[in-house]
Amino acid sequence: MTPRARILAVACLVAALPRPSGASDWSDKVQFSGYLQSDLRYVIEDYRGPRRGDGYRFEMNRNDLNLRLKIEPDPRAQAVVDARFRFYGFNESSSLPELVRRDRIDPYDFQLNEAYLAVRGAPFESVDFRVGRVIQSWGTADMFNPTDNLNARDFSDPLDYTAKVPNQMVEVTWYPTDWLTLTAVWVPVFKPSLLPPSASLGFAVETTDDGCFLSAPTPPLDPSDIRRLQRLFGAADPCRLSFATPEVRTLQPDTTLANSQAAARARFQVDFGERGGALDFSLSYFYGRFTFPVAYTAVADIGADPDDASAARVRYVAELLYPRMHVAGADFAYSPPVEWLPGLFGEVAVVFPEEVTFGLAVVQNGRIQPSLLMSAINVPSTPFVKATVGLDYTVTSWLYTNIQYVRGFFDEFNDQYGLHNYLAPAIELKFFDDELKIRAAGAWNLDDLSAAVFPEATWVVVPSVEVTGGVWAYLGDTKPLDPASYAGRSKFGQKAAGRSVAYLKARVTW
Amino acid sequence: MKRLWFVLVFALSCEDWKSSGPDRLRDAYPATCGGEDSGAPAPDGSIVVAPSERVAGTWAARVVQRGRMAIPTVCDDCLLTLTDLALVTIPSDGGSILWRFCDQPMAMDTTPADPTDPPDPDAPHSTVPEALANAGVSAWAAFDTSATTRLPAHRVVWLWGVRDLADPVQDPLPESADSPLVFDQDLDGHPGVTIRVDRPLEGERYMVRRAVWDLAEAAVSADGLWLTGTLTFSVEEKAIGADNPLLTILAPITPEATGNAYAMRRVPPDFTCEDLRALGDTLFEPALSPGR
Repeated sequence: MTPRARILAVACLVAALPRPSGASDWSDKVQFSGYLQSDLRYVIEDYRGPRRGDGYRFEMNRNDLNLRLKIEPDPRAQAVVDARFRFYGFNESSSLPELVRRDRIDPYDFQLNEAYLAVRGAPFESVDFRVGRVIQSWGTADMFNPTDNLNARDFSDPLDYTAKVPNQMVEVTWYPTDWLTLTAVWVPVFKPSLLPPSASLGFAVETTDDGCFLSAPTPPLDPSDIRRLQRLFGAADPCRLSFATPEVRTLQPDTTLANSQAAARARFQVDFGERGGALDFSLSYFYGRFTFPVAYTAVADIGADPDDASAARVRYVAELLYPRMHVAGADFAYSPPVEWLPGLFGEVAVVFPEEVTFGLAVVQNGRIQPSLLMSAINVPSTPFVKATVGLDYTVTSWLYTNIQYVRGFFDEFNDQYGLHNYLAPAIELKFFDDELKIRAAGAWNLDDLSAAVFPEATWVVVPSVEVTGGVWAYLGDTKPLDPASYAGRSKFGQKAAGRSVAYLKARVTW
Repeated sequence: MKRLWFVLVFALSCEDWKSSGPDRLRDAYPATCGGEDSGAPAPDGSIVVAPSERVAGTWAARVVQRGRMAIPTVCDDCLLTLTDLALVTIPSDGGSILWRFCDQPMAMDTTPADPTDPPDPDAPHSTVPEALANAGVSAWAAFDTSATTRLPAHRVVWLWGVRDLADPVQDPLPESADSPLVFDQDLDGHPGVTIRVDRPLEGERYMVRRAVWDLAEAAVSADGLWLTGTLTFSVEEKAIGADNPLLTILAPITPEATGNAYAMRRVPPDFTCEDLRALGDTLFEPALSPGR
């Protein structure tokens, strides 16, 4: 479907909304909600881009229109459509012919977040099912959910780090008792995570201002092999090494039944009464793939530079794959019976991964140089644990705090980069009857001491209208702390993490 | 116990989950060919030559030089063994000894200096162009050899790709192919001498080189067939070009204090470099045998 046709389709959907006349039957069956948001961002540094000096410019000039339609044609049936139009606000035309194309001057896209049907009490009284494009949320922690693996993450906008990639799935839920819910989900086709625009900088070859070779990405090899590679390229005049932009390929799983994903969960909800509080507890299992790719192969193909007979051209081609995994998970959230106690939550996932051996070859004239074929186990088959534990506490009506310890960030697998430890605190203050909210949150890597911090202030102009201003900043070294180690990159300091920005958002919801 | 079973079931189901990047690369790219077999059967080294107690005559020389060097991607401290094979003509009426270069097999012990580093499965390898042997007299040494049964201690200076040095021992080697001192000694159209490098990277390096040997005195053996002795040496090299910039940096060779020796075997006057290359070490086995 072309973008124009998509717009028409949604416009028809909106046009089909209840009208005042003759709509009494439908007004009870349809809920229409959504939001309109303007988002303006400015890069507040000039050292985290592809080249030093790139910064102090607008990074985003975006408008989103989100439309959510929920229709209940029958008391037991529900259809949900959640769509978003996004207008990027930057001219992308670069030639005269493109000036006649609106989508180049005013680029936009359409995203169908959810589109599913749900039926309650079918085929049995205590069974529900859902089919369609769904975003699932499993786990009890605040955003850092290692047991939540059904949907890939959508990091296309780093500030919206809770977003997920929707996927088609079939969900069956059985309610055998009041306190137990059993859910099974089948996801026929794997979908990977969306990465931020800065992700490619993780594989970037850095050059000096005059184009001389400076550094190449460190592969997941043993330190001795990394030193060998560094010596190989370090032996040459860096101005006579022409590194092409690395080509990074991802190996997609075949769309076979064997590559479909499945998950099951048993959720227990126990109320201990006024003195005991409430406990929400789940056991879960997932079979599928990790949605962030891990390094699999790399080839440094050395050949003559066609533009300079005295120089060598190095073409770097890397392949990434999505490793398979079993995940056994457990999570809980406890709400105490008294306000002066904090709420507790925790989540643990034991991951049984596919073993991935990384290989790097130096190729010349289409042939591997035998002494320069190197390998190392990138992901061992040893099971590993990702976990989150935290507490939230409403101190007063105007002060809320939340702190979490996280082992293993969203994109971390037990590859050679390893699992890192994080502290994620947040504090929120509300003033003037919640008209003004000040929130400061962040994530601090306890291993390399890098951090992402995001203070912001929100003014609720009128109910349903908010204006938010804030800063999203990355703190840490952009250079590897240890150039001879794949794990030497600073988590939030590396350029691949993204740009530090100041932002202004205005949003109306209905 | 149930937990153990749980883990075991998962572990077993993951057993065949393996993705091997090296295997994928081997499938995608053929490996560089190894050293090609010449196909010629190895001769037994037996040659017929009239023995003499005098040093004058034609000799096949094997000069072993051991040194250490750092090679990118291979090792920080490799033990290099250069074995120069040459034909030496010592005139009976005095004058200069003539050395004709024939081949330079190289061996490298890549046992890494850092014991945590893995050994390199393939030692680096380079091939000296055969054309170099056709470039005529490549070294000189002058002293009176008439009527003597001993090879006196003497110095051999051997230059590659460079000529007209006022002082062949002391003058600096040119660093650019543009220098008038550089010439195309192997007649291949590239300056200096072209060395074909096979590992760790393939390519051609154009270089100039100076080897200085200080050979110790040696007496003709009792059977009249051998001259053996020790030497000290130095090797200086400059890369003046390459078809791959990664090959233009040369590591200096630091001579080892021990293990440097030469052996000369008397050969017939019509003995050729081709004969010497074909026989190789076989020709020198008696001299290499313990106890000699």
